[in-house]
Amino acid sequence: MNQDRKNKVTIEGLMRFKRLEQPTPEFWRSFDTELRTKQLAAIVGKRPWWASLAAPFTFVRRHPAILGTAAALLVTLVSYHYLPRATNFGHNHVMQEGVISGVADSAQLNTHSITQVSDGSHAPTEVAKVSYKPTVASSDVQDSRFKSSGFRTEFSEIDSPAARSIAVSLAAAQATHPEMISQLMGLRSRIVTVNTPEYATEPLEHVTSPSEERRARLLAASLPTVKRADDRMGNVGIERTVNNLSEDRLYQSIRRYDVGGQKISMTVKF
Amino acid sequence: MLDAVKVTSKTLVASPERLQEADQDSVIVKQVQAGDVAAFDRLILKYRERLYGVIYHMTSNREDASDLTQDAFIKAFQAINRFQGQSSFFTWLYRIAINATLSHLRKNRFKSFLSLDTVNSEEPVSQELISALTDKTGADRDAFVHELQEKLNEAMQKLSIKHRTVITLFEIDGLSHQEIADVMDCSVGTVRSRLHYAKQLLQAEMKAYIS
Repeated sequence: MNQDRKNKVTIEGLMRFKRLEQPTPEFWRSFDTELRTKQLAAIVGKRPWWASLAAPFTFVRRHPAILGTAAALLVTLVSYHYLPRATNFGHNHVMQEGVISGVADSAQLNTHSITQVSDGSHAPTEVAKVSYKPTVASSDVQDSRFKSSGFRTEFSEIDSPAARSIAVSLAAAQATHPEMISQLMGLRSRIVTVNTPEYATEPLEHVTSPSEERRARLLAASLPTVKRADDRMGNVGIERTVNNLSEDRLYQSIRRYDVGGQKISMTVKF
Repeated sequence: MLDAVKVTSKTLVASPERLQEADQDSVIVKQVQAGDVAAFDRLILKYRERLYGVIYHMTSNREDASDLTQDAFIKAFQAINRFQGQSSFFTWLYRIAINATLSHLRKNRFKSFLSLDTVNSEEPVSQELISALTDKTGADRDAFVHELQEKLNEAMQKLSIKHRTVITLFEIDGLSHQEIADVMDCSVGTVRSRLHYAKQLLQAEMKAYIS
């Protein structure tokens, strides 16, 4: 019998039973009093400081399309203002890298030409002189350009494990053989002071053979800027020469004027 | 604080009585917006019991329900100038109350305790149910009612917050699926799904009393 009655009970019936949970009339009296107090407090109460800041944005919050449009416009203006500068910066950076690599390439080329010429006459030529100076200037150019662009180059601080191990080995060697190390250190300091001057001069630079002078004069005729390379103050010309002096152009000039060494032949076509 | 106030452009698919109520509410709301603060008391008197009932059945705590109901009315009072009538005042007020309650329940998820109102056992519904469950009378009957009330509230608290909200609004407050969807800002299908699942869970919890 009881089981049959239980079967009639459903969730909906239990929910109807739960709906009968109701507060007493006293509860509503205290509820009204508390609510009145809170309402008055809300009317006369001081609003928080951020409420006044948020008030101007109420209109924007109601119309998010305006906010989106303004944000898109702002992004467009900012990108228009800064993008050309960023592009120029990137272009300059690439240009600097190109110049530096070009200088480095030409320095390699010049080193090659030094050895080539030295094998022949045991004396540096005008070409060799030209080629040597930019090697010094290239680092100056590199440093000055990187410094001017606000970069810290990797070359300015050498702090590798190899350098540290060398320093440790040097300290150990100095402890065991102080005299030899002091001599070596003196040699190092001399090397440093040799590199310090703006224009390094080699002793053999002053010795030039007549054939090399003639060759340099002919090259100067074909490459006018080379002529200025002898001028030690012509730093800009040297740079330009190094930048413009490609291996192909050099050999092309040599081939055209047949500057093979001792004789010069020129073909004139009508 | 006013972030809980979310007004949507949806309108309720309501009965004619509900539409008539909405018209009356909109008149009162316009009076309040015009500066007649006392007119808001009529809205409080009209909706306080229903609002309290919904919040109480969601929290199973009469003190929390009282505070949350008062806060909902205060929030509505403070924000009534921003009420544009795109939904009915009833829906708008329910949304404020439900959002505040959900926020409160999420904050106090692990420290809830029951504080129950008394059941009016003299109501015919209550008598019918109690007589269906037991033949006991007198003091034993009161104890059984109290036990059943506690079991029901514990089963409700075992539901997730969203399932509890849906079953409260549908089974206890009598809102339609569409009205619940508007209040909870979800689809009608979601409401039906949650309702079905909540009923299944409640049946499992209350199976000792059902079968």
